[in-house]
Amino acid sequence: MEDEKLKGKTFEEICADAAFEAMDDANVTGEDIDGFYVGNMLQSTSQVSSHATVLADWLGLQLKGGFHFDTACSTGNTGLGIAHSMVKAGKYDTVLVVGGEITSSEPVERDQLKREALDPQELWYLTDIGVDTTYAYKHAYDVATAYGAIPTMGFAERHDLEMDEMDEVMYHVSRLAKEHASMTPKAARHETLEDMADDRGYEDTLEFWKSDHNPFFAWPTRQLSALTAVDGASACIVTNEPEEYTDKLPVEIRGFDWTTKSYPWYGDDPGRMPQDEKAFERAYAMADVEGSDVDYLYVHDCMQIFQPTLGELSGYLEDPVEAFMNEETRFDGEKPMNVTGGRHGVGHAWEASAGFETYEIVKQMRGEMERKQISPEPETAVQHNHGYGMHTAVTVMEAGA
Amino acid sequence: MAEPVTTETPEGVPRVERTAKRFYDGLKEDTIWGTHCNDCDEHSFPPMTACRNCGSRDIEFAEMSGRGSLKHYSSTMLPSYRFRNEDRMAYGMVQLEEGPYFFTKIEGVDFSSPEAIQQGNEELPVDVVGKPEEVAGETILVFEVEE
Repeated sequence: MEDEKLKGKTFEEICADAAFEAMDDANVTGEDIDGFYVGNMLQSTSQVSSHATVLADWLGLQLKGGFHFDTACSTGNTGLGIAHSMVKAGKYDTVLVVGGEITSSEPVERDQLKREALDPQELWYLTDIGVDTTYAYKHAYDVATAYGAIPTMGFAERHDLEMDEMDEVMYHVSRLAKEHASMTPKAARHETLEDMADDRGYEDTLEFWKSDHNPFFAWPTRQLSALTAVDGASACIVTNEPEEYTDKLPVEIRGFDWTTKSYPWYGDDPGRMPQDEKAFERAYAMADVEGSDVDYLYVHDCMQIFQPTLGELSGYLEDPVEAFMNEETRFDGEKPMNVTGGRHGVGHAWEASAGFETYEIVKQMRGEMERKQISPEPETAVQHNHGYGMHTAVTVMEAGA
Repeated sequence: MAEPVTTETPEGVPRVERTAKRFYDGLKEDTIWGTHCNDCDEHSFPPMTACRNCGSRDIEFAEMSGRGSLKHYSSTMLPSYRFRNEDRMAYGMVQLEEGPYFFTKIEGVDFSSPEAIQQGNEELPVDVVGKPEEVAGETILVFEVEE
């Protein structure tokens, strides 16, 4: 809540910011909304545990069907499937999905209006509760190694890369993330990797990448390959009657799937998770598409190794090494991916982030992204998210259907 | 005779044994408990109340060998809150002799620098042996590279 746009606001107020923007964009009022679902993981920082009942009055949704739901960092993506199911079942016509998270501060004496900075290690303690606390957390659980370092080693082994080559792949992933974030008005960080290198006296950005300014968070994963924790909220409207409200291009949810598996998340093939394989397979089957049909892919990138890993696993990238080394995943490349700027560049507000990624997919399909518009506008997009730990949500979206 | 993880009350209601407590109590007596599945014949580790391979509830407590193979390891700059007062440690992925994968603290590997971690990983897999050890106030299972 140190960001000037959020400073002094409560959890309810940042959720209202996002919800009202979504409602205005869709041209729906509180009266039009039949149900609403609210995601929030860190209840000790939001100081809210009955999210829907509290937010009903802040959002003008009294007496509407609401509940709190939670799949950690995949929550917004999961919410799309829940909303789609409720609408398709005929229970509701129009649903609001909201996600909000505060990662930078916590209440003093349980008073949400009196706040103090949250120690980063304590933030990770609260977050790591999302992993198995009975066994994994007691056994020295280390997210940087389990979710960054070993998947990176696994990717290098699968592609027969020397670790210097692997480091260069990750340089390109990060360079693009920061460039895309620099073109994203809502991003927490707007400086490019070139800006960072220049500020520290480096002419060669790759040399800067490999310098002590970007140490190994857990070898071979560098600090700039990891997420940036921020505060935020997001919201989406799902309806079966978009033409009743707006003439803007609607986006159809064609398929979705969720999978769950506890720790450890992978075995013989580090980084390739069976829960990801199954979620893509079933979401594609529901939508009747294949990876090669997709025009734009977003994958969860708390640790950026999952861009090449999931770009390949999803069937979107035939050769992920070439795709990143040649920066084909840039917004104007052959295979655009994670044009949001990802969870390092834009920042990561746990249960709010997936909703922001959906927001950007809709904007890309409508041709509203200006400097980083994918051309031609994507018609089929896929959004993948991980939720600690480990939930996978995959949603297939189609423009104008 | 092997003890089942789930028994029944006299009224026929299923009741699961205290599985996690058995695991941690076992470590204090140098016994490493997992489970064996009577349906798929696979081991699960650490012990839970269903088979982690096929989901069956027809599982029994099984003593594990404590032997395995270290596949990968590294070490983080930002340890979990629980381990914030501990010396920096290596953390790695072990495949147990019985099949399951397990992540825990690893001893006997060099993690003194990125170069040392890279060199160490190039020499994997190596055999490791499990041993109970008190870490952050709790007796847990760590693995040590076999001499």
